[in-house]
Amino acid sequence: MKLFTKPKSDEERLIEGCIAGKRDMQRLLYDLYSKKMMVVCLRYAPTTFEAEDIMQDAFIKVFNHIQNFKKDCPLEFWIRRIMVNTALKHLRSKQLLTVSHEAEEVANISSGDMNLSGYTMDELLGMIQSLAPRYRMVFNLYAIEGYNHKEIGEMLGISEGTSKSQYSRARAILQSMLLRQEEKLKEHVISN
Amino acid sequence: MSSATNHNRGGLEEEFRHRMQDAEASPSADLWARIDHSLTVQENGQYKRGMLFYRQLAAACITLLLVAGGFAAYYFGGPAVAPVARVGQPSETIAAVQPAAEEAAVSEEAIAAAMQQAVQEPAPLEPGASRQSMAKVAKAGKEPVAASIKPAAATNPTAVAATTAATPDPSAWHSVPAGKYHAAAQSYTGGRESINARSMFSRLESMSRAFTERPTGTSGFAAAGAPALAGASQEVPEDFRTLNEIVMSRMKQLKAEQEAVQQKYKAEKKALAAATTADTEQENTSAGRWSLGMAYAPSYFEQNIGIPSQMMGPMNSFASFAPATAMQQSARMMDEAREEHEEEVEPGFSFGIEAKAGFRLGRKWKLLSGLGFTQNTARSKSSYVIQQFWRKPGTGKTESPGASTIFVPSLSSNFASDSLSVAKTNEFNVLYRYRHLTVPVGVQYEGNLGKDWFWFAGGGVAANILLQTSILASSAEVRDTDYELSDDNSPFRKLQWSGNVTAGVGKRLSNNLSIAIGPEYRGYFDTMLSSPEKAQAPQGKPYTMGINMALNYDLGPGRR
Repeated sequence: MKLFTKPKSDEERLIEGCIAGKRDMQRLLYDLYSKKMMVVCLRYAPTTFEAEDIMQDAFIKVFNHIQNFKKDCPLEFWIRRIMVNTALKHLRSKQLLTVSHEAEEVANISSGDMNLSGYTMDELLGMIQSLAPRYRMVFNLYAIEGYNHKEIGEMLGISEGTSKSQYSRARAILQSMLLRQEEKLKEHVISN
Repeated sequence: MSSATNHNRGGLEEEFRHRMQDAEASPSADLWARIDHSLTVQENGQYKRGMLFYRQLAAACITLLLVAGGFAAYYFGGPAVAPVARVGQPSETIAAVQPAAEEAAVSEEAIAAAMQQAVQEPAPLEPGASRQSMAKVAKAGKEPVAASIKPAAATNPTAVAATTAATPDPSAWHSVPAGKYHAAAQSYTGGRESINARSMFSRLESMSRAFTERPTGTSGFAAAGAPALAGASQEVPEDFRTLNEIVMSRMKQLKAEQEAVQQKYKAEKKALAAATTADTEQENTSAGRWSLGMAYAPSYFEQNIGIPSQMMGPMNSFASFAPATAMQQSARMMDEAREEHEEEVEPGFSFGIEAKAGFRLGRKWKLLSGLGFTQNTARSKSSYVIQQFWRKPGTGKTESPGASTIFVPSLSSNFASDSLSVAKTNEFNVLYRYRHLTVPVGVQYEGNLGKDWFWFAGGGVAANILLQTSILASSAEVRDTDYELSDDNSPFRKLQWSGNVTAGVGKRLSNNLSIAIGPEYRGYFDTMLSSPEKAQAPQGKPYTMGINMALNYDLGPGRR
């Protein structure tokens, strides 16, 4: 019999409740992370409807496999990884990750620093969502999740070089979008 | 999550990361309701899959038990089937007759006691009117024998009448016949209370005798009991019809319920599949546990039947009248016939066909059972015709079963004949054919070799019932010999147990259909002869070696 036991943290109690299948604990976990994870899903999905589909599948996986959570990383990271993998699987099942050819012209823009403080979250998400699925995926994985091109290549089943080229293309498209937005903004200011 | 090697990041990446990392967006309000519903469906599905598995396992076990029980009953219940009919036969052993005799005696005692009590039931009773009083009692209570078992019921005629005159109650259909056959059942069970149960079959048989044989021993009881039984027998068809209708309606109801549960399960399974794709492996495991298959196995059969080296000769008193040279010639020809048989006997074409049902235990194991037929043959060439003669005592006449090969007389444990004739003739072929009905039970393990190919290994046991044994000669001089299943003169074992092992490879032709092929060894646990200890030559155990070819159909969605 243990005389001194380490008091369990709220997160541990939450995880234990979810492992036991307690619906109120599962709801609590959902409430804690659903808003952050919704942004993750929105980044990978082309529409809000699909983002919710991905999130639903991902949360069911979270509840089914939470007993496998090793606590070697924060719970949020673990859940986020499941979201990303589910999104990847979702897009792959819809064959949206086939190589596409952007009809959009890409301007040759220097990779200087850009300030995004003038854009709302919806505008930024809209730009990312407007990218072709493969570009969107590579951009999300590299720029926001922080994977390198080798890892992205393994995840998507493409070569490291392809990942690099697709990322640079996605980056250029985004930059051109940002420039167009800035020009529109300037024209609007001048006209006023 | 991020890689440490990811250094080439510019301002754009950092800006996006910074803005997106802690961003939040509210999902729609009904998203949790959808997740909650999916989780509930999933939990129900898991529960039902578990229930379905245990239900199918129970069904498989019951089927196997029934098959095994049926054959155990056939095997062990055989000698007790007609003990009464065999009482008069001196050849039967006393032990075989004794249980039935005991049971019959106890039944008689029970009936006598019942009669006595039934007679004493109406207090003032004239000795000469015993038959009339018996009839009265039988008429009033319809249950003279039951009185000896249930005195309380007997002293209360209304209780007995209530029991016997019970009308069918649809809500308790199983209880309908109880009242109707109460008297008969009690007359039987009451007499059995002091007896240790020997076997279900001997009991059933004694029960039937309680109806059929009573009149010979207890005429008074028969006079009293017959009208009651006759009255009951008139009502039997109606009751059976009512009972049958109730049972059938209940069966339909149960079937409808099962179908409803299955449809609900299917609908929920579809919903579950739509909700999550994570556990497809688990679904594959639970779906389609049953399979049907057919197998064909051509084989090599070694019958391993030995014939004695020193055998038949004129070994009786009549032989002393024969000339010495004739005796020597006869003995020499017998030796030649035996040597020829030993040299010439060889395996013939044998085969087995089986229809099997399989029940998958987990992903790799399969339980198999079914029904099969095997025909094992051996063949030889012979140039000698042997004929045995027996002299009928007192008549001076001789009898002979006809000309045969050396094989048939050598099987008999009591082949000593009064005279024996051996003749050399043109060479002819002899075919030894054994036809078995088989009931196999076994397990099989399967492993994958590729996408469509798999390997398997398995083993099991089988009950082999010898349907027919034939010894067929191509010569017109030699009589063919046939032993049927019910032939008591057959020297061959009627129920033979065997074990088999097999292994091989298979290919899945479609989601449900697969073929498999591999070598199979089947060894029989006993000799072909039913009494090898009485044979004058050592007897071996037969075996077959062959190729098993099987076609299998998985019920359900299949495995591919």
